[in-house]
Amino acid sequence: MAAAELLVDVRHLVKTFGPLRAVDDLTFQVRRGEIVGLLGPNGAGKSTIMKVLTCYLVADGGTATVAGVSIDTDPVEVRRHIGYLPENAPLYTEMRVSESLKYVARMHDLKGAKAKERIDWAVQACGLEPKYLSNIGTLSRGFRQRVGLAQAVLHDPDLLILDEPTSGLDPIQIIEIRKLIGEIGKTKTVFFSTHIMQEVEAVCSRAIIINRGKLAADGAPSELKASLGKEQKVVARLRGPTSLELEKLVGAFDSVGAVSVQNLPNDNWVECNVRMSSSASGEAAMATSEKLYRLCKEKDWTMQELKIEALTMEDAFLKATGHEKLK
Amino acid sequence: MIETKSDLWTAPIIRVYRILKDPTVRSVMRRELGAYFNTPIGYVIIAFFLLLTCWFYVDDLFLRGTAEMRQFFDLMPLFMLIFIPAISMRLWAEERKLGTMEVLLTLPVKAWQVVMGKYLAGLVFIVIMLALSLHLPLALASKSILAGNPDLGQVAAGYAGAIVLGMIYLAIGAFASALTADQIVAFIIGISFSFVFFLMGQQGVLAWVRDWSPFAADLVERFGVGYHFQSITRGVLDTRDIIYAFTVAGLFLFLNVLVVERRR
Repeated sequence: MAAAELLVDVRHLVKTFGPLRAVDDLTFQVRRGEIVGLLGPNGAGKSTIMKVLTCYLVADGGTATVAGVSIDTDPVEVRRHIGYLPENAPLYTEMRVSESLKYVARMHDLKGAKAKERIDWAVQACGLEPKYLSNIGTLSRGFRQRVGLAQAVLHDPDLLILDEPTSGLDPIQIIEIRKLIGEIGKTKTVFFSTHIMQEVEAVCSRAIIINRGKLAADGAPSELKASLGKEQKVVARLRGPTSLELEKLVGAFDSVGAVSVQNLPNDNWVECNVRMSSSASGEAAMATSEKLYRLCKEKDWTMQELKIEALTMEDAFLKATGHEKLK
Repeated sequence: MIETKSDLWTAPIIRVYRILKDPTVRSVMRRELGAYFNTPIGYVIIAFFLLLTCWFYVDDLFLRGTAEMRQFFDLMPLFMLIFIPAISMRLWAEERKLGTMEVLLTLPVKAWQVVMGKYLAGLVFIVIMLALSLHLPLALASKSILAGNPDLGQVAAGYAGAIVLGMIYLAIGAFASALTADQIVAFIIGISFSFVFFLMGQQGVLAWVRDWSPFAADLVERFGVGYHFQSITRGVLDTRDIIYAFTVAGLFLFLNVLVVERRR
């Protein structure tokens, strides 16, 4: 059924806190089976969007439906379709993991054998067996996140909404949680927020970039990078020129968008980052690097490194949020 | 729908029954009750409450030489004023502090179910607390201990009054807890609001109001907890006292739901 394919349908959503427009005329959809990453700087409105979708907050404008149910008319029904993990995985620290899971199961109307079955599945899926009888207060951040995740998937929801599921975790825990999300994402639709770009590239089928409450970009990671695709970067390390001199010379090349030259800690070496302009052709980077090489030979400078870099999600993000001059 | 005169009574009773039977309300209640006893807080409150009230009661018991619990129940309005906000302060403030309010209220539950669940947990806790003072009337009555002859009807009425008092203060305290993330602030606000109701039965305040208008003084007196508490402990089950209790408790529970919803 077409409607059920659109698990999240947000149209012109607005949420204000006094004078602040935390969510400003936002429109996007999440289809069944996708793993969608919500990216944005801190304060962009990611958490707010999730709180509105889970009906924790009431929108000030626009509409949204989750699995076909409107968030205005039937919040309780909406929540039945969603498994939500808030930021920092808040949990009742005086309870044991088993008690907490049983409580959440009861709150979802899961009883008896069905509850046991779901709890066992969630514990196994999230790797909680070793800590099942432990007090939540004694668990590390990583395990607390897993308990939160287990609570979110307990009732087998269509949609998982996770708010910064990897925040505060160490690199090993991050990899584990990402694997978990990937696993769960095979059978469920996941909508999670993050401000770590690499996460989106690693896990998501689609990324939505938010900045200051407004939609900045929406598409598959490859698409988003391709939209800057013609814009590649040439990076070179040279000894000889001063940074100002190099900047002026390279800035004069064709198709160059932005040049930045930094002095490296080693004496006399400089690193030059050249971004092609948005109107440049695909070969522009090649041509520029050749020109740079010839310039070096001409001026008798020493070149240590010359490469053409494809722009990463990070660059896509910085561009979409209007911070491109930072590098 | 209310169709006959008897419906006026059965309708609210059915409502209360349905609330008590609601599975979500029961789940929340069980969890909260567990929380009181999984941490020291429950034991500490009960211990101190019993320590203080029993001490003050027994202190004069032998001097008086009469086998009655009246002096114990006389202590209730003041002691409950302090201890019940201590019981209710963690109900909502802790959820806000821990951030679990977000988890709780994004489960497929209605706000009133959670409010009632927490309230009932507090009420059960109060009943347990009072039940642990039953050793006093037992000692009074038992032939092998004090061999007094207490009027057990009055004792029962006294406990009934104490529970009703608890119902009211608890509703106020729970509302106060919902207003803040800080348990101490919840405690203080709870005591303050309850104190207003307490003051309305105090002679000092009433005399002052009486100077202004004797009619107003009578009115104010009936709004205070003291008046109704006295009435119940005298052993007469006046429907006006029941209505008072349910109205005040109901009002604050309603406000509680509003505050919980207002965060949205």
